[in-house]
Amino acid sequence: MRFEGYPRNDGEVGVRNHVLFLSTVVCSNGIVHQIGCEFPDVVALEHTKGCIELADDREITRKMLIGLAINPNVGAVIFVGLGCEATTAEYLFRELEGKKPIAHITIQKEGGTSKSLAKCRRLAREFLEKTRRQKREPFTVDKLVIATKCGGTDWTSGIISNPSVGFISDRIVQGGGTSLLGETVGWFGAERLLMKRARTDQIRLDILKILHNRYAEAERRGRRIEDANPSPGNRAGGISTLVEKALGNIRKGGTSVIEGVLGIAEHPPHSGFWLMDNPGIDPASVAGMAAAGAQIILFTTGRGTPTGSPICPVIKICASPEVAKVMAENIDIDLSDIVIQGTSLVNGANRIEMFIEQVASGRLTQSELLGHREFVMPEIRTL
Amino acid sequence: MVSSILRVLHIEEGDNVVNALSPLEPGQIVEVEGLRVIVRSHIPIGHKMSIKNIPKGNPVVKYGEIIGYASIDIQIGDHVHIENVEDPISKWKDQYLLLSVGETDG
Repeated sequence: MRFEGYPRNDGEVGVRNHVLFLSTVVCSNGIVHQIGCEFPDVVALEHTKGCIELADDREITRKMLIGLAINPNVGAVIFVGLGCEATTAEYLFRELEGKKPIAHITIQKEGGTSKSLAKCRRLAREFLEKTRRQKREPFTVDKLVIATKCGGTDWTSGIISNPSVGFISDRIVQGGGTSLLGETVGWFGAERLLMKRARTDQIRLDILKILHNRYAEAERRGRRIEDANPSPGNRAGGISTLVEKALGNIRKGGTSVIEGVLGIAEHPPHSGFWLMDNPGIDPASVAGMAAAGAQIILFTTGRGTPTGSPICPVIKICASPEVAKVMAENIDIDLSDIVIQGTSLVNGANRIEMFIEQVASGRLTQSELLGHREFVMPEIRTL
Repeated sequence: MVSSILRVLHIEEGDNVVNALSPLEPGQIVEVEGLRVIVRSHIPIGHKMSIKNIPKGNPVVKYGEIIGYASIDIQIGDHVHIENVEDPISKWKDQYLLLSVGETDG
């Protein structure tokens, strides 16, 4: 696998060259939103976190802000803060100075909306010009970090799309690259298969621990995870139990050895296949992966979903004959011929691999073309 | 694996359910690994059909793994779904709750 990307100071490679305006707190969203409207070429990222949070959620927000900023797809970042939040724009600037073109604005120091907007406009022009001058260079698969995700699962996901993606995950890992599998709630009942693949006993224990924590939290609230998941759409699509969904889900992760379990927004310390303890809800899950350094998301769907990401190209893969037709504009790779004609999974995998090379070299995905940039800042949650 | 007429998918040898690759109707006959199964209920595309009798309380097996337990007696040729399959997680929960509090720290 070869691609042309943007080399970064830290040795990582971007497949996009975004200028990112990032709210450090919900209170900055108005300014960031306005800049996004005025400059369609920047990525203006708003979220609801950053103000008073419990310590564990506050830490996730801090790691997310850092992780999103250092994602290699981000060519330049401007932190927009209010001034009274825990993780300030100035702190983030100091943490990351030198890693890439970076700036910070604090609305309370700047003197309000108009002055902040004026400074943001100046920075947008300056950073857009700077990033436009950069050229792509050739790289190989060892510089790729992909994350796999499924959303709107139906019966085709576990049988066709996910195993096809699993082949690609293995190929990327064999080539020296990195693959991430998240969505913890989607492992219930499949943990034994994951534990068998863990490199060490400690990793096996880590897998059990995070499942324990989630199950115990739901029990504490008098609830059962399997009552909420699978969703009504999953059930209509033929999925009967959470375990059936999980067994299909983990096939996205292929068969490679598991190097460890990462927290949300935690960068894998070396290449290989990694699990990530993160939410199942699509935009929160993808956000956690983006903040961990994923450049591309391989996203399988059976029911069909338009969701994208502000940071990563999301490649939508669908094997449902009906949905691939009805929601064709939201699907990048149609694998329904595997259902209809019995085409091999390897053939499907080869098509995904070719598409990854193109997207990594600049081809836009359907979610990018249609302007989908869904984003949810992850927080401590059960599902 | 995929049968020549492409109507059902039997994923692993030990599975007692198959996935319908086209909608199936009562009375239709499906061949699975040399076994003739008479369809007993409407089965939407992709949904599961039993290829064995599964008495109440017995495992429903797909991908070679238990995906649930029969909540009522399931007969060969039945639609296998939420009406007759119970999620196994609550039965297995002890393995998630076994760890003492100390072990879950960090």
